[in-house]
Amino acid sequence: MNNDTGKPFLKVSNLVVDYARGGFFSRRKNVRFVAVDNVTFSVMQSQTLAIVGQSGSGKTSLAMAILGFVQPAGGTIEFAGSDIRNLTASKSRPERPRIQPIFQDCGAALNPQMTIGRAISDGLPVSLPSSRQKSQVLELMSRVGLPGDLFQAYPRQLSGGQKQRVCLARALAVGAECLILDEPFSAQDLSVQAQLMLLLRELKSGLDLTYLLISHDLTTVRLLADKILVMRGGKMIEFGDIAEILSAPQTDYTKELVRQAGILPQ
Amino acid sequence: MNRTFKSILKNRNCRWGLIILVPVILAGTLGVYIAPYDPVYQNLDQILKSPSLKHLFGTDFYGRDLFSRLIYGSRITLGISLSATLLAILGGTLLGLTAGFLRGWTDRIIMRFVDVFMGFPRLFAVLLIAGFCKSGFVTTVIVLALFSWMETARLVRSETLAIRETLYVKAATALGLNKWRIARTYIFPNLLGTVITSATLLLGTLIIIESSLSFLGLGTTEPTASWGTILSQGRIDPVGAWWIATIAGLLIVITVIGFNLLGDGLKQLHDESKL
Repeated sequence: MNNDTGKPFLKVSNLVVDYARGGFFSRRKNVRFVAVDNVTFSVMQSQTLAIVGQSGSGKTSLAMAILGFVQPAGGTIEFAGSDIRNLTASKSRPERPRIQPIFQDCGAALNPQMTIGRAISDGLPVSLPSSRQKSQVLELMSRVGLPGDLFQAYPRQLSGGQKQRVCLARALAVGAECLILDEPFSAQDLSVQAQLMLLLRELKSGLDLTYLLISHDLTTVRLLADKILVMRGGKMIEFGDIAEILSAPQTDYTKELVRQAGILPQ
Repeated sequence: MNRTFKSILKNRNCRWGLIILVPVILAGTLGVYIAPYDPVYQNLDQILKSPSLKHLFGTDFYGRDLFSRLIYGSRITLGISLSATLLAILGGTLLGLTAGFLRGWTDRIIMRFVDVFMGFPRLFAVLLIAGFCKSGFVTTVIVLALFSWMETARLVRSETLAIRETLYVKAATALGLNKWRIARTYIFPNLLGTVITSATLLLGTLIIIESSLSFLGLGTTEPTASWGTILSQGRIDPVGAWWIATIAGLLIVITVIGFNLLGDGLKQLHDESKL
């Protein structure tokens, strides 16, 4: 969906994320490493923005800042009109579930001591009766294509694709409106990648979800994204409509990414 | 529950641990029904009788039946060690989890307390306090627990620091769950392996310390039977009355091995997430 009119759903302005460098014995004390340098972009509701770039380009740091796991050194992050820079603070806890992460290592994102049913229901209101919780979880499991008999299974008993689906169901259980998908396909084989891609498309159209898709693989990105943001060394080097950028990349770096992906510029 | 119990029985370490410990614990709990003699009854005609069918483990210097005294003693020794371990593990886990999870000033204050308590050699500190206080079950338990929680707190803290950085804790934070719920349902269950190992190691150590205290006359005192007091009697004539120190010493060693085996097995099962 290419709906660029109206107020942006997620707006990031002049975002800077940096980390301390050097340890106790290091001579280079108080040196900061800038992982995200002055990045500005916006996404409309139900759009998919792909953030691409090679390893170390700052994609994950950008996602971590949006999720509130890293405190930005500068800039603003607005989600549905409100500033979400301090999502870690307990006062903004009710706001947190609206943005959910789907990590690359989906197995590590599930508590090994918790059954699948429990993991999905954990975000549901505590006040909900357990029978209602169970029926909601089973409904969500079926929505993401998981058989109900996995309700009592543990993460170690599931395949990579199934774990990814559990993470999606968990995000949907808390009513997520925006999913940050950090390399969701890279650990999966081709057939699972295709299934997950179809599922993401279906969920997006059915639930009006907004996606931030982090990837280094342009071939998968172009099948899902409406917009693209190309990052290099923490800086944003291109941002715009995916069809336009892939057909006429402006920088040598983007041209190289397009060439490596085997996508021929028109 | 049934599946958990089956997994425990399937594990070789757990099985051997239970084979050793079940009779010892049963003896401690059902001592009144099992012991053939009154443990404090002095039969002066039966002084220092070596093991025989009449007195399985022989008799001591007052003609008391050693088998009965060891059975009654297991209740005291295991009671003190288990209670002190439970207290120390509870305190250590709670403080370690709080320090590792909250970090900042809470962490610094708790860890300085750990440093202060670790600065005292445990046996010396326990001896010092036991020397000043009236010896007894409760005093011994409190003193032992007071100087035994620190290792657990340190282990649990470092494990908590590692777990709080995992993706599943990040995912739980993103769900909007509050800190204590994350600590209770995401961090604590994944700490259990560490806590079990810590508890079994500590239990073994505390059985030895309790026996040492009684041996030195600062824990349980005569005529009450404990493994330490019996061992202490054995030093009077270790050659002539060899069975007293040998049997009591062996019982202590075997019980400690039993707890270590059980702990190792439970840790293995937890790591394989079968518990």
